[in-house]
Amino acid sequence: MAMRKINTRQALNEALREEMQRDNKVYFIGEDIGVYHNGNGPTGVSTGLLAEFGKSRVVETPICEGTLAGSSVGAAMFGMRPVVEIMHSEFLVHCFSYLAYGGSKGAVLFQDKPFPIVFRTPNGGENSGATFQDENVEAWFSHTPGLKVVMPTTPYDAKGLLKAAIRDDYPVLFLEHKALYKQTGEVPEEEYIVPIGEANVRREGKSATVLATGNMVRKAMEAAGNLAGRGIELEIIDLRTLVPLDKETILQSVRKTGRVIICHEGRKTGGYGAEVAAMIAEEAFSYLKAPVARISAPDVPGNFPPGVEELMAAVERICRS
Amino acid sequence: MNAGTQELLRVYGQMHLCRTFQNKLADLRKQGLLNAHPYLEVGEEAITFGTCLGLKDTDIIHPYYRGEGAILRLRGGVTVREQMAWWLGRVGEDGTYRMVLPSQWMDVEHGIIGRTDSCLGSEVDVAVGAALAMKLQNLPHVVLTMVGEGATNKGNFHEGLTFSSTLNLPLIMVIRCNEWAMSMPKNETVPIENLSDMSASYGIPAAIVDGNDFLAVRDQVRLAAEEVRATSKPYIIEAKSYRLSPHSSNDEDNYRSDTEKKQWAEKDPLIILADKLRNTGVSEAALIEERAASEQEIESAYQWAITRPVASVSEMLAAQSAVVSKMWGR
Repeated sequence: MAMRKINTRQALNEALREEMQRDNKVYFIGEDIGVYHNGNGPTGVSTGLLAEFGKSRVVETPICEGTLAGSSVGAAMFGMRPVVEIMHSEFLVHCFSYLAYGGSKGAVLFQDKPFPIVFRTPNGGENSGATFQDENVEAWFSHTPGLKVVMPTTPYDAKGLLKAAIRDDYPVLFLEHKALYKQTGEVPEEEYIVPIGEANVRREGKSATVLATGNMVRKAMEAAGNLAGRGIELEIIDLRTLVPLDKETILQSVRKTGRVIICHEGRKTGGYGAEVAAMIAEEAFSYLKAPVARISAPDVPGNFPPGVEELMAAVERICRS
Repeated sequence: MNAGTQELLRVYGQMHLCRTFQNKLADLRKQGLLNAHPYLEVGEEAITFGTCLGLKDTDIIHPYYRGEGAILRLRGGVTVREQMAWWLGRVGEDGTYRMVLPSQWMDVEHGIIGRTDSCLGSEVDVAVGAALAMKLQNLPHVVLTMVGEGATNKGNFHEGLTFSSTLNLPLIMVIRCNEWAMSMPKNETVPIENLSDMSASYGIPAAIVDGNDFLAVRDQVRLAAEEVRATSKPYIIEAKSYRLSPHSSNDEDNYRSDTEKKQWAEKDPLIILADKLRNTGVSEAALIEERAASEQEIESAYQWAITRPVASVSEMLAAQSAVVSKMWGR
């Protein structure tokens, strides 16, 4: 495949454009997604969409997050395929019932008819201490039967997974890490899809398994580079999809290394890592050579994403035991 | 009897059936035979019937949570037997058991949106989405939904109407002003006399109608639907009525006076409709016959339903699991 380097924003923009060209039932809806930021929109993925598709496909709304999300439930019942942009994942709480009930109970009550909705939103944050807007919401929504929760970490995955999400016949929550928007990576010129529900082994190693999401994957890769010189070879798995979880890829690695460090930016208590740790305890306990470690944000209201140093310390501790 | 009168007599029969069904459910609940609390709409039936029959068959409706599924019956998708079986915790005609109250069943083929969330106000957002789908697909259908005066306080109501008005969506918002939001009277929960005055905030038209008069509601809905089709702007109809029944069968209903209830009972929508029929020359015998037929239908539905197999919990779970597995691709 012919490759070129683009950033995550461009990758997401391409996915949206291609899917809107492919299927005229797909529409893009959100706040300020038309002309703001020179037509790039608040998240920078709108570039050129309004000009190409017009107001009947790129729908700008008043400040109404509840209706923005809720209307997608009604529109999906009547043949449309909404792609909803929520400006910050923090705002998603005001749409909660439409993901937790509309998107899940609604789909079940709709029996087995297609019920396609993509909710995409910037999640997490780069700087420590932000109290607003840098929220990590993945755990809240992972408790919803039927709802898929997707977190891409590379431009390649962002494009391929967003295309898969838009083609999916059921609701998908698509969480885009803010720190990754400007990251560049190789993306094919040709069309491709990354299936939802498959984790990705980003680095192979035998010392310990790092299970990471979002920006923590990048930090884990950095930690692995630093630790390689000290005789520790990390295996790094980018979960990519939190729900449904690719248990097999995880368990295969756990059986090989026997040591696990779970890293996410969400808070520790009730965080998604607790689910992963419990799953490993249930299904691969006898393979563990050390307790499962969780690297996560402290239980405080602000966002304090864990750093590379913290991750390296945990790895060394786990590998010594 | 001309066709119009004949049709009106049929509506009277169906409305009486709706009333009889509710009374039967209240009675069965007292006997401990139902598996859920019915939310009764005794006294408000003219709104349910008027809205449903004022629309074209191709229009879409998100029914109120009261009404025991009258709209599902009127639009032809569901029988009273099916609904009775559900209340008795038994499987319906096709051997399956639905997951929610009959008033909330999804029947998109017949243009009926079921509830996805029991918190009031959510129907507004979902109906707005259906209206958006009509606009984006250039379809000429309007979408009608209903809230009580209590739920006009919800953020969804204001967001939904602002959203619909600014995006020019074909939405009819019917406010069923029935004076009581569970135990809270209108004058303690709503800061204005006429809820239709709120239309000024959204720059849309509104009308007030006697919610106990079926013909008045139906004609107002017809008028509104044509205006919405022509202007692509939402429209508010405030239907003034009164809930004669308790909020649900789990309500002692001791927070309001008998005098108040008695005054409204005199304006019962069934009395109003019967008077109109008499004025067009329908005989008392014909009215009695219509009522007897409805009562017979409810009784035979009950007799049928009570012999149906009891819904199996494991089958209910299996049905939900199958959908979730499909959603998750497992």
